Amino acid sequence: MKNFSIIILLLAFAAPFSLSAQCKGFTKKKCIPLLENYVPAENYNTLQMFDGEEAELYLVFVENHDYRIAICSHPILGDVNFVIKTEQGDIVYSNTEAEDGNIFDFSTTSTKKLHIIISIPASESSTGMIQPGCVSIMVGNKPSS
Amino acid sequence: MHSCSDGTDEEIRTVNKTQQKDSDDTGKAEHVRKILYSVPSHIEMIRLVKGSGIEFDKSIMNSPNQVANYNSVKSQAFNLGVYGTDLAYISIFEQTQEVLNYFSAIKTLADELGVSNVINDKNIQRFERNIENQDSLIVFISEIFYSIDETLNEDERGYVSAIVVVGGWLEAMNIMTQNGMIMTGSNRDGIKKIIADQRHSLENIIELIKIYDNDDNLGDLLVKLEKLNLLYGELIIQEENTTVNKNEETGKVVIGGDDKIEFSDELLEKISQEIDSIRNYYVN
Repeated sequence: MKNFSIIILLLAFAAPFSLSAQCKGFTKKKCIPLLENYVPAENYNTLQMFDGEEAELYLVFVENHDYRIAICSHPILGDVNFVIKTEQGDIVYSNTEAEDGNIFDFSTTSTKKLHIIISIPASESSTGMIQPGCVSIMVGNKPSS
Repeated sequence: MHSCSDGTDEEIRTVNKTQQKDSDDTGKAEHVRKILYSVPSHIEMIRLVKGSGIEFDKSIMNSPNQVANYNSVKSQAFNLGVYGTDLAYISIFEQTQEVLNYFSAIKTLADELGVSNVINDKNIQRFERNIENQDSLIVFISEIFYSIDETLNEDERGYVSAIVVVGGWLEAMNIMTQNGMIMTGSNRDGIKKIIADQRHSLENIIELIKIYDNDDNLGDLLVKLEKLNLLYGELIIQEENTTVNKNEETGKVVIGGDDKIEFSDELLEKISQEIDSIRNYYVN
C-alpha cells in the first residue's frame, strides 16, 4: 500500500512536466506547419487549457505586413472558439462564423493592437474528470505582397 | 510569452496577476482567464526600420566583443535580445560580413542562460550554409528566437524570456530614435509615426513585465519602462477607429486606419534620450 501511494505521488508530480513537454511537441508537429510560408513570430504563445477556460492575447501587428493567425488545439478539448477584436472592441474575425475556421489571413496598412480571445466551451465528461489540452496561438508574418 | 505550464508557479502567478478565476458550485469546472502579451519580432521591427529609409550604421549596434562582460542573468537576457535585433538589422540590410560575429555572441549568451540546446551543431551548419541567403537567414533568426522563447517558458523561466523581449525591442527603438533625430523632412515625419505607433508595444511590454516584477526582481526595469511610457503619454493623439476591409482583388482582409498624432521634435528628443539611457544601462 505504501509503495502504491509513492507511485501515485510520483505520477502526480511527473504529470505537469510530461504534459508540458507534450505541448512543446504538439506545437512543433501540428501547429508550426500551419504557418506555411509565413515567417514564425518569435513568441511562444502556447497554453494548457481546460474545459470552460478562457485565454486572451494582446498582439501588436506592424504596418505593411501580411499576417496569418492560426489557432491550433488538441482534439481532447473539442471545439475551441476564438474571436479577434480591435482595440475598440469591434469583431474582426470569429472562427465560428468563418469558412476558414482556425486560420485567419490579413494584411495591415497601419500598426494596430488586436485582442484575441480563446474559449473552451464547458462540457461534462463521462468520468467527471477534466483533462487539459494544449492550445497554441501561432502568428506568422511576411512583408506585404 | 507565457508557457504551457499546468499549474506551476509561473502559471499561477500569471492567473493571479491578471484576471479572475471563478469556480462553479461543483468545484469541477473552473472559469479561468489567462492573459498573454506579445510584441513585434526582431524581424518585423527591423523591416520597419528599413521601410522608413534609415541607412545602415554599424556604430549604432552593440559590439559582439562586449559579450564577455555580461555576467548576470538580467544582462545576459537583455543583451541576447539586443544581439537578436542587431543580427536582424545586419541581415535585412545585407551586411553579411558581420553575421558570424553576432551569431557567435547570441550562442554565447544562449549557452550562459542554459538554452544551448536551441543552437546545436545541426542548426549552426544550417546557419553557415544560409549566410548569403537573406530569406533563409530571416527564417532562421525567427526560429532560433522562437525556440529560445519556447524553452525558457517551458522551463518556467518566463521572466528571462520577458527580459529578452525588452532588450530586443529597445535595441530596435534605439536604432529608430537615434536615426529619427538626424533625419529631415518627410523621412523624419515617417519615422516619428513609426516610433509613435510603438506605444502599443510598450503597453504590452509593461504588462508582460508586471507579471514577473515582484518575484523576479524586475522592478527596476519596470520603473524605467513606465518612465518611458509617461513620455509617450505626452503625444497628442486623435484616435481613429480601426478599419477592416476586404481587398476585392485578393479577397484578403485589410486592417488599417491611422490615428492623427502630434509628435514634436522636442518630445522625440526626450523619448530618444530615455530609450538610449535604458538601453545603455544594460548594454554598457
